[in-house]
Amino acid sequence: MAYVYRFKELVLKPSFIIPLVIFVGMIIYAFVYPLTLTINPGRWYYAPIAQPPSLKHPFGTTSTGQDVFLLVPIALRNTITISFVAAVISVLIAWGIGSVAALSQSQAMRTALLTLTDIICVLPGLPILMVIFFTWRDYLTIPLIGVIMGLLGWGFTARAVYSILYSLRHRTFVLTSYFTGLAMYKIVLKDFIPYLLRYLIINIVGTMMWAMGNEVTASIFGAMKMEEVTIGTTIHWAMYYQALLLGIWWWLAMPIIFLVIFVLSLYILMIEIDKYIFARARVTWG
Amino acid sequence: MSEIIIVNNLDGGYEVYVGGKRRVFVHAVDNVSLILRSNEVLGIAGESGCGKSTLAKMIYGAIIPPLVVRSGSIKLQTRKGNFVELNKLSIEEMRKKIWWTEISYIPQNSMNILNPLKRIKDQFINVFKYHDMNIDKEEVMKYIKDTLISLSLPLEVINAYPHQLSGGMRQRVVIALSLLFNPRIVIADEPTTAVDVVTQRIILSLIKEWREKNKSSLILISHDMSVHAYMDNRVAIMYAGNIVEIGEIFELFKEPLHPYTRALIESLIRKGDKTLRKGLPGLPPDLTNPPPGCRFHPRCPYAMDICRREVPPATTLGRDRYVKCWLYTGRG
Amino acid sequence: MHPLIKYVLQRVALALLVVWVGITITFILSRLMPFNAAELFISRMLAQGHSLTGEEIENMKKQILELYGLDKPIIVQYAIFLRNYMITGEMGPSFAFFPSNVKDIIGKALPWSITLLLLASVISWLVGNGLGVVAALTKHRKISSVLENIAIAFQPIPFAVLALSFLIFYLLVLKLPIPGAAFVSITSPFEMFIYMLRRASFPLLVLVLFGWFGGFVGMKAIALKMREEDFIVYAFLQGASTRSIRFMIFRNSILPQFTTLVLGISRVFVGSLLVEYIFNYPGIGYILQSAIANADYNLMLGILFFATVATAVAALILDLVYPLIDPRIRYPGQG
Repeated sequence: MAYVYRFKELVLKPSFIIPLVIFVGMIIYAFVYPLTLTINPGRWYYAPIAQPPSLKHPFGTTSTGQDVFLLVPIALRNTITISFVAAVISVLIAWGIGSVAALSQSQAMRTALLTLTDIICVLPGLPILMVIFFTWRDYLTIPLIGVIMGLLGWGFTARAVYSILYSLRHRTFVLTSYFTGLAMYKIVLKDFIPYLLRYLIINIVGTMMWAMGNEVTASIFGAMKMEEVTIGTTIHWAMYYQALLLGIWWWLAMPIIFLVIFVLSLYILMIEIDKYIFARARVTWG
Repeated sequence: MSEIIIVNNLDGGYEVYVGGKRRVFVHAVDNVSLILRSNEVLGIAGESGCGKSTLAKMIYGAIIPPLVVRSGSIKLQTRKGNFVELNKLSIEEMRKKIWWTEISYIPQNSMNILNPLKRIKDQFINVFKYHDMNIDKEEVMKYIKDTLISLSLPLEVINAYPHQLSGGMRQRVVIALSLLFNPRIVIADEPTTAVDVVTQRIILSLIKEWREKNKSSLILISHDMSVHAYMDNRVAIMYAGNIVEIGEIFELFKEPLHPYTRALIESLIRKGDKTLRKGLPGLPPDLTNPPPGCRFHPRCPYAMDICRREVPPATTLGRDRYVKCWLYTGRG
Repeated sequence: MHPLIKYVLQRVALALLVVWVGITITFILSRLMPFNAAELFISRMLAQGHSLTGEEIENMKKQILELYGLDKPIIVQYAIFLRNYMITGEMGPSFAFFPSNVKDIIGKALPWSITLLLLASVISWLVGNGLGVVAALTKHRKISSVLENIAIAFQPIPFAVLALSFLIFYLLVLKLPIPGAAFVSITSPFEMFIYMLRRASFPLLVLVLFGWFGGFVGMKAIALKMREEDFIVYAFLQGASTRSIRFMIFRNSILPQFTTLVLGISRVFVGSLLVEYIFNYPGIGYILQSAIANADYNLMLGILFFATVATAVAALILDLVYPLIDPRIRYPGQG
């Protein structure tokens, strides 16, 4: 009898349950906790200046008089929002372009789309983003930043989607369906979608990480809406006020630590879910 | 005709771990005894999954995990005349002393087994290097050219990359590589599967001619009885890890003894015969859990009580002929 | 047409296309800006109180307006822009580094950036792939699992965060100074190159240290598969030594990985921009920071254009190297 990976088994696995708890905790800290606050933690000078972590200020305070414990969830929320919007937009574009390129009968169309994808891949996206963010900084909102990133970040995903679909299309079982007269869209629905589900998750998580990297890098350069609290802008201000030289390490370290923990928990969750889907898929398809 | 390979009660298979924990033993070769004489072609026939390729690997000495030999021996008479036990040698010793010089190998799927990044001449030169042969470069080139000519391949091939050759040409290059050091024994494992009948004929004839010229021995593995009819002196029929019958090829075709051999031969198309071919019902057994007694009994039309209980002994019927079946023991 | 010529032409065409798309984006951005960059530039020059005479200001105004061609139809503006960027290289003055021209500032920084970019992407790719093969083929399970765990733990973390954490660790925990290179008088291009390498070594270290994970993960998977390939098994049966087989697996697995090297250039570029800024390496990233800090739009647009050129050229160089390692591009096959 084939080995079946049950849902119960997944849920009881420590390498699934621990990152899940951390992930949920992070989401609550970033999205629910700020709702209970009465002050705007982004404002300057509501807290004492440059205090090390203590009972009153568990993560310390900044040189600009902000409480890091209140600052971090806002920063995390905004960075997650940017990266999630970017991931959704870019994965939508990537899947559209990748699947049309792979499934289209027209050679010209395929060449055109693949060339476009190659250009997007080679084009240095971040300098373009930085110029856009800096020039239009007064007009940007957090979700809009994500949308702009998404418009430029689909190259790699589209390439991956193309090669997966292209190889799927030329597999025997698909050819058999095709030659027995099944329409291409039905083949896509019936044969491809279950197989592609795992790549969808991988793509979204991968693009989120790319977008977070871009947000942080652009902010460090100062090319961002600097009044908005994000992980990147927090790091920028910490560096701007020489936090490292003055020994105010918590200002830099806390946002970094929280970003890393969030990213890792998300990534490990993705790996475990992917393993689960893959094992299930293998059982159903024999 | 002296005996150059003696396989004695060889027993082995694959140790596989399922899910990283449970150990499963696939008993692919069960108590096999065989001899190979000089200057003869010995065929091994049977369905896919009957263990014939595993037996070939063991005789070639490529015994690396998960393949293991549990008992028995494989003895080879070297050029010097002394016997070595192949299953006692390390892979390193096999590689240096036995492979390609004493025994060489023509693998399955020989169209796609050349390194795609090396020119044909480098593929030849590499084989010399693998065996630490420091021969003058010009001499090597001349040798390669002669070999190519004898296989009626154009000389341009020498500087070509594999992808520039047709499938048939690549296959001939592979055969040339295998025969490079004029080995005394060649093991050909399904050399002509996935090839059309015309190419099949060309390749088999090439091997046949070379063998007759060099008086070497050949072990030919194939599921196709017509290939055996064309090539073999003797043929061994394998079923589920056992050799159930061995005989001289004409005798075996004229009078197949084991019910399985009979079924194999009956499935061949004969000139003028218009009756429907009969297939053998059932499937070969699961080698992780073979049936008790004679492994063929669940599919055998003559199965008796004893077949279900006890393993049949080998019954010798004249020189070079034996069968493992309760029908011929006189005890049935 | 010989397939090799076709391949080279295709690659060159792609590089030109990338540059063209880059320049067009630059043009569109420059015209869409929510303010008139030319007038902003002049008013800010005046506000900075540069001691300019009225005549000089008029001259500069004329020069900038001519450069932008704002009074002409948009198509003509585009043509002028293309000519200025692609042919004459005239991109106007820089505000941050006044009175230097954008062209000169970037011209000085570009060789530094391309050197760092090519070194970083090739070295981290080689390190990643080398370790990937080792992890796939080694008998020591421990080495393989340690490497794998490191790669899995670090791969998802944004490079900026890793570079900063390294900086924090280096400065606060190890308490070491960041090595720069003392300025030496340079007489020959060779000495210049050596000096460049010395300056590049620390940024390069950081880029490679955190840049090998992707190559590693991909290579390990490919090499594990390659090990089962028929021609590898055949080489083993032919009596090839373990060393020859390892080399053969490496050599054959590296080909599919080459695409990731070329396409990964733009991602390495992002990292190198940041590292240049953090470690004061005189490349494009360093001047980009000044451009942003001083709101120098001319310089920013110039950098945007040259960033495209840099990645396109780096990708083209790697693309042209590819046929040297894959004979299937050099020689036509029979399908």
